[in-house]
Amino acid sequence: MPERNKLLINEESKIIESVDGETEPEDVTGLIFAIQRFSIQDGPGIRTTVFLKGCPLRCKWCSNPESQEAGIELMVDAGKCTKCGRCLEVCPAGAIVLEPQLAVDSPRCHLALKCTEACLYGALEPAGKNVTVREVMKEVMRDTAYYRNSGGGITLSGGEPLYQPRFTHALLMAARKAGLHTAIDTSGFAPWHVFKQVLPYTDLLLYDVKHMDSQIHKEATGVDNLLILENLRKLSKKKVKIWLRIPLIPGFNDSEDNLRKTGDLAKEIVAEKVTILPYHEWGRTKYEKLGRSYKWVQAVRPDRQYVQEVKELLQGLNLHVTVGS
Amino acid sequence: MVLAKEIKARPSLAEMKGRSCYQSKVMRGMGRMGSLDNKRLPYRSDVKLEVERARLITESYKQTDGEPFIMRRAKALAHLLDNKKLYILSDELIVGNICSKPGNILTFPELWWSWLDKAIDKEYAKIIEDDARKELHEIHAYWRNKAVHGMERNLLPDSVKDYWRYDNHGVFQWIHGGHVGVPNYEKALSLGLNGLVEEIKGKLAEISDEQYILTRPQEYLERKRFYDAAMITLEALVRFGKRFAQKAREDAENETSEQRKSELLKIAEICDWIPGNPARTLHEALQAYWFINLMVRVLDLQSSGLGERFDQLFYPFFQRDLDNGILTREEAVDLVGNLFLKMDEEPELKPPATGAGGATLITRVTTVGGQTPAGEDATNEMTYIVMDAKNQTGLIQPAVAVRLHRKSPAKLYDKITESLLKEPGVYSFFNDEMMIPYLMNLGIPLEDARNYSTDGCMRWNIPGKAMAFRALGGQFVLPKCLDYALHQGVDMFNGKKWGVATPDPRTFKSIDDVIDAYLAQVKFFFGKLVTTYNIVDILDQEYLPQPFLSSLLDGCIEKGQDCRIYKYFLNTIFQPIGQITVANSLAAIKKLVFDEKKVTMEELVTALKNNWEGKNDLRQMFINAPKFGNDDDYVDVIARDMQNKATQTFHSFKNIWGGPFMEDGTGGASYFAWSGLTWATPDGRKSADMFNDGTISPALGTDKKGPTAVLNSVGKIDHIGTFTHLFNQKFLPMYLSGEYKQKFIAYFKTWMDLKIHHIQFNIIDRETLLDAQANPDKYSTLVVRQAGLAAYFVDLEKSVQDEIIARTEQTFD
Repeated sequence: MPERNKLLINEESKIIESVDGETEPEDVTGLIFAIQRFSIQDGPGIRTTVFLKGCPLRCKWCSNPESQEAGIELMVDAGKCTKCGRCLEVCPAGAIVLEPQLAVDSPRCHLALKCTEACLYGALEPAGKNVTVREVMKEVMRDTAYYRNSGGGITLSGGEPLYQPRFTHALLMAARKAGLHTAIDTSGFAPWHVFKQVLPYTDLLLYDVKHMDSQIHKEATGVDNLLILENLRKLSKKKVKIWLRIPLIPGFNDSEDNLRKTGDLAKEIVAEKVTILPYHEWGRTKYEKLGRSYKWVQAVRPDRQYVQEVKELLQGLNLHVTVGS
Repeated sequence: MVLAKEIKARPSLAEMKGRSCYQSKVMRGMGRMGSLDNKRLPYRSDVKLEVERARLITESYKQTDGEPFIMRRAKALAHLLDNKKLYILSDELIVGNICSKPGNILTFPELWWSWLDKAIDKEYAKIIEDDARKELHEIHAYWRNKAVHGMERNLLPDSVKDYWRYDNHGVFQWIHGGHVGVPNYEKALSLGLNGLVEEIKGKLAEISDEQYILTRPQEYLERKRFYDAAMITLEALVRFGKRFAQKAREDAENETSEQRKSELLKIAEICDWIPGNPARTLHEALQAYWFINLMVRVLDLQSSGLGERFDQLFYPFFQRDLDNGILTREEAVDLVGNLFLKMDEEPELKPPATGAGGATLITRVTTVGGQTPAGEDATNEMTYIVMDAKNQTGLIQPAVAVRLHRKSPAKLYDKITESLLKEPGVYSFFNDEMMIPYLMNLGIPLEDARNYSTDGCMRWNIPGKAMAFRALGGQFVLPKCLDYALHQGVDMFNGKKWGVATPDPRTFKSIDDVIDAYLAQVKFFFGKLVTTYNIVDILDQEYLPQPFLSSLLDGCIEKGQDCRIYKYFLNTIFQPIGQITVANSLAAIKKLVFDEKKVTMEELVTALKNNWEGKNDLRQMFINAPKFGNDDDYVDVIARDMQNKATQTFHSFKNIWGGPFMEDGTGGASYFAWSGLTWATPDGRKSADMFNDGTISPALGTDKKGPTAVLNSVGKIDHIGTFTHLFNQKFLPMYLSGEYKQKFIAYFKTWMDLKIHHIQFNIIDRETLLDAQANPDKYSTLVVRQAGLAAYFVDLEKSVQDEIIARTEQTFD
């Protein structure tokens, strides 16, 4: 990996949460990196998941590395490059080289992103897009008929949706106004006042619990779990439904002791459902495109048998357990 | 002391389905023009072409020379039924054979012979014995200038005749398909064929009145001939039943197993009674159905004969047997399964150089579910019996068309998901919420509209009615018309001006100019197809009356007219191909040339002429342009408008009954066979690459936003002026079970809300298909949906297999 393909972040494009209070909720802008229709693993029914960009955590196994930074990034896929040279013509910074293969000189690049418009082959693509609530809702509402027939709706995921509280709040309000079932997929790492703000518009929380030991949690994700667990316990007193999600990372959080403790927590907060998300490496190539290195090389993908054992262990605690992918 | 007798259990349907008589006879790999996989045999090595039918029909035609054709046709069919060799297969409960030996294939010289005459010396030399070959050549000599198919060629003016061959110009192919009409089985089962004969005798008495003959001699003669011919065929089928009764008794005498002996005696009793008399039990009804079906579909080869609403037709018999304590549900499944296996015995003979990629195609469909004529949910226990029987027999015939509507029960959806996991390839789904208003808009009365069925592969029909359309009529390649529009009517393959001289595309000022040129080409070629079509319909009226089928179609007996003449519904169908390829191409031109002005028409036309050679970047721009199937209004609206404009063009032509030509989606099944003669297109497609699959399925790999976006795009296309649309989806099996099942069902219900006519699924994972490709013997009965039709996967040409594997697998994540 050439050095100059390093992380590229446009500092200026970072979302600054508007505090003026004058913007119409539908005009509030947020930074997203994807809208995925026909999601069936992010809550009940058929849903559309909006992926918000920016996350306070840095989980080493993260399968969506483009979700982490709170700014637009440039993704470089040298494998798709045909060396047509169209990007060279439009780059105002002269930051692109084609030999020996497509690469972008990160100190020089100012993320004008002209190259992403010029590239025909998907070798240079922006990760992240500023959008208004109105624009997102227009896309989300296209699948209304499926939500109605399936009891589905919208899920805000990330990144960490609560990292853009104003946008998340406005989007949830708009979705609720449109009669949609609403869910947030969260790490739980957010100030309580942010939760309080969005809860009136949220039907379901998909709440990640990664490890019960605060120190280990911090080593692998960059933050401890105190706020996360405190928020969770507070939320359990509210009327919002909670589905606990456990990313199953072999060698990290799959000890019987930790799984039992997580299960006990799920019981304590009366989680409606516990979902095991077995670790996978699908996001690995995206690290390369972002010029980063993949930090979670020790883990192997848990096999079906193993996942089943974990499922049974949790079911033994009298929990409703499902397996996602 | 009485010793307990050891009773051997009947073999299960699953055991029976493995027998070679029910297996596909075709083993071809020669579908796409120009590609020939010589390693594969056209037919299974034990399959033989037999002469019996050809001999008997020809004997009779020789004897009736000079008589009206309606009498000749009737007498020929009667002669065939009275003399053909009969067999009863071991363990079968429904009898009635097609050929003289299981595994044989038969031929229809009165319809066509010339290609076969050559093939039996060449490609098909191994499937016919020497003495049979000699006899068949002699028979063919008799039919020279007499067989109906192709007769039109010498009657057409040169300006049309030159276009008769598809490979000259690549736009359309005349295909002389059979005529469609679903017998009124309900009437036949309740009156018996003797009842129909009585009805006809009554009519004969009415017209045999001197005053009537004096005032209406022409009408009298037409009616008299029709009644005489119809009675000949009806009485012949009653005798055919009695011949089988005799055969069953003979077989029973030689039978050692007590159980089988009693089964054979029961068969004898049944065949003595039906089809002449009204059916009294489910077994009798199924047997009578099969005799009638055999006659109209297989021996006459003029009609599909299918298209009944199986559960509506047979449920009353099942319920009565159940009430009388003479049948269990399990036995009913066994009987229905036995009937289905008979359908798989059916052979198929096709020219060596055509066909759909070597597939054994589903040609039989039976319909279940839907609504009663009164609008109530029609699902009944027979609906589930049909699906159970199908899931146990598997195999390709018949396919099951399930009608769904707002009030379809949850149990039916459960059964569907269960069935799709077992036999995904044989089920297709039709939307009452769209179909019933659509049919009414065509002028079909509400009660008949609610009674619609599916026959062939996905064509709608009204059982018991004389419909005008044929099973096939012509394949019409729309992208080739666009190809001509972009090259002033010149064929890029041979440099000849086959199309009409539309203006130089470099002068086009807007997308409307492109569309006008395209529609001018469509109109030019379609006129030539219609000329052929209409001439052939008149020849069919003259040479191929259908007295037997007519006597089972409402109105024909009353009017005394053959169904080739009397019509309940006047429209005709043909099969357009490649609609979405055209829409994607026009969207790309509109965006890049006229909206964004990034490319000139000159650049585009030059790049197309060079088949995109050396223009990779330009080609990529056209590939990146909006594509249908992503819920993107930019292209979806063009697709809808183009559909409507093409429909208007087609409707401007009339058939011989004064009805319009309607677009039938089944042609979309042959997209891979007919894409080879179309040059590069502006959607980025290279010369001879494949079109989109089906009529409204997205082009391969271009639907990137998941299954809801695909449905939404498809839902935008108006169905109103077209006949049928074909739509394929593919899902992984895991999404039909467990916690995802209800979501799949919700997806299904949204398909209904979006008023899409049809949907079918391939529910097979990639690994299974790859394994089947590598180990065909292990998967000889794996049925896949290949465009409009179902096919045995292992019989398909490799490129078609690859394409099925590559087709976007819709996942829920």
